[in-house]
Amino acid sequence: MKQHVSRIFSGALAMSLLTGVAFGQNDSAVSAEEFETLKGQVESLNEGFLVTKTTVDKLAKIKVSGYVQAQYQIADSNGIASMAGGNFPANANQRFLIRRARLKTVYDNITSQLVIEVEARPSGVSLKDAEVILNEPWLKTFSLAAGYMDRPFGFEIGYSSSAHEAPERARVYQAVFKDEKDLGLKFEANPTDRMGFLQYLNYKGGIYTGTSGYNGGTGDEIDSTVDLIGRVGFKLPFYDLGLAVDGGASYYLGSVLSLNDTSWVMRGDTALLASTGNQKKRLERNAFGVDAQVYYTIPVIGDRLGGTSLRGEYLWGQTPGTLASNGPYGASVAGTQTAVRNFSGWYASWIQNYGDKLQSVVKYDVFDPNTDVTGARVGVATGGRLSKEDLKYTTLGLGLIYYWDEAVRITMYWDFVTNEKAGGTANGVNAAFGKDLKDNVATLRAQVKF
Amino acid sequence: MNFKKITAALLLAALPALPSFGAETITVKGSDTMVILAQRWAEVYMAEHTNVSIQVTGGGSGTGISALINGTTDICNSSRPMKPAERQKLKERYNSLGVEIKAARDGLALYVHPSSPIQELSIAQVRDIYLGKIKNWKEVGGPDAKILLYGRENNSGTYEYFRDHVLEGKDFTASMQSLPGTAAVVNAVSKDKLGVGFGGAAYGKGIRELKIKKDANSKAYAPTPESIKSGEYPISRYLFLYLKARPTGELKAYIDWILSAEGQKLVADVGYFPIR
Repeated sequence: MKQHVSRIFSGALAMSLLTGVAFGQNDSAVSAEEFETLKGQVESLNEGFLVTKTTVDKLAKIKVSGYVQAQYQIADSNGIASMAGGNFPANANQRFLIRRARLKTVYDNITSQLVIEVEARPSGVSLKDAEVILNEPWLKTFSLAAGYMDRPFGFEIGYSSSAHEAPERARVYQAVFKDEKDLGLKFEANPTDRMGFLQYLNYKGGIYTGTSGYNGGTGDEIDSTVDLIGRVGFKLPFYDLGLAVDGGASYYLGSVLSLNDTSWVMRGDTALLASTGNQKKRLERNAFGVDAQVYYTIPVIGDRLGGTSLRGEYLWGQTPGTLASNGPYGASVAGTQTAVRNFSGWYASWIQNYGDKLQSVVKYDVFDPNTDVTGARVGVATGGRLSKEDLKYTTLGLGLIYYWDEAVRITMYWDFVTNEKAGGTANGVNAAFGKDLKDNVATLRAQVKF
Repeated sequence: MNFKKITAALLLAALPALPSFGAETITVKGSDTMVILAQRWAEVYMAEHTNVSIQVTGGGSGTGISALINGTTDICNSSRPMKPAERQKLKERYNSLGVEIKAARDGLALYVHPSSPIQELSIAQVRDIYLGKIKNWKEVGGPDAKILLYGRENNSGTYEYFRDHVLEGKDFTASMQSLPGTAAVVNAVSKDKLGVGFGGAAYGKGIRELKIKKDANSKAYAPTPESIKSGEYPISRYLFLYLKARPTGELKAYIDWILSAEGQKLVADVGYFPIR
């Protein structure tokens, strides 16, 4: 092999020397001829380059990104119901899980974009995002998006699952805005710095089918009316102080068609009581929220500074669900009796960077699916149909994140979950709800993102 | 295995992840427009501070900003402001707004061959040339010959600044040859009598820089230090340094030095315009 390479090299050297001699023997005449030949070749190359460039420019508009989250989890006890990636198997308190495995493709043509994101997990492939976005080219402020997308509500929904410091969104979001996505049409305004004070404000909002986000986006719609969702936000950067204050107020105004004659509603503050005559009746579904995020850098080690952020959200509203679920009513539970609850929930989190590699997370979240009753009324025979779905939960999350390199991060996170204690065992309330369930979860997650 | 034992084991495993801060090496990455200036700053500073090592590389403003977000550089040089989406990524990764430092001012010049009869162009004419609407020099008062366009690659801050501020956000014509640095653009135009290119005014050697006017009725200005400083020359910009957070220690000392009289003198020596 080595000899073969040597022969090729010798041959090439000889050829180049001969060429050099030829040029030397008849310099001017050959040069002129050669010049024309070379000129033709260069022009030919240039034409080829332009064709290639056109192709490359088109390809450069396609951006592919993705991430995989693989994790090991251990829970306090077997078969717990959990918001930390789903319920555990009946006889297991630990598991390996591919929590998320997503591939996103964006075709970015500046004034228009196409976004397709899919999730591929052992349980199957599902659609996570499919949007057509039109950006106006004049003010570069307004855009319209149509398709399957994040609901424009609050902070946590739009904050990518790959960026989230805690492994999962707050319980209130998981319950009220399950899967985060919906089908609809969204208008967005993000004023540029040429628009004076308006540059600090933003808006996103639109009309959505209301329940199509469930069942992995396969559609859970049961009526033809649309829901209005939106958020008015602000971003205030104080560059000289190194401080940023962001926030917003959100709304969800909608309804869902009851496909059962019986609806359970709160009367006063003691019980869910049956109300009849609700077949094909519209049940109001609404949610309101305020959110704020503050970013600042503080001393962490010696004179070193580390970025810190404090974030919080408060949500409240009314969700038509079922007796067996405090999540929204949709096609997957159509025909069952509905249960309308007033809910509230909030979280506060503190994320601290230590140098470039390490982050700590403290998060406290509260979700009360039925704000009209206390746990003491749940499971009590006189408490109507109040069940474990009406119990309030709080979760203290503690975590450490290590950034292995620019693509990999490793998260260790502990969820300390506390449930409101039930007053009895009626309506299928397990006696275990009479005290705090053993349902804490530790998660060790590796995420690779490109 | 139970929950408490696993939790204790995971906490112990976390200990090696605690940050350690070692000897001072400052990495600088980003704008090709600024690379010569950044190298000069680094050379002079390292000569005066032998305990500090400063590594400077180019790659373009976009590349530098990505490196800042990914944590692979301490300082990002950028010839364009950071975009809101990039700021957001910095906030997500470091919980910090980032720090923007205006380090110098630059005029973006239009280069032609020294023999070109064209003396001045309006912004609208420049825009139409780079959008491919004007294809012949005859249309702007030159010879009846095809205009050959040179420009920068799309990871360049100069490319983005030109696209956003001159082309009003529209795409460059496909016939523009994208070259990997301002020096390459200058070199190409210096050898092409029908060529036109754009880049920093500091690079203007072997070519001629056109006078530019805001519109057809305005006065045309050459990219001189006076016209750029006064804002009369219509295509001028700041050159930025971006950091993840407020600088401390040696990084702060270096930034302070860049903004000092000594550092700003080098700005002028390289051909840009000091900010103080």
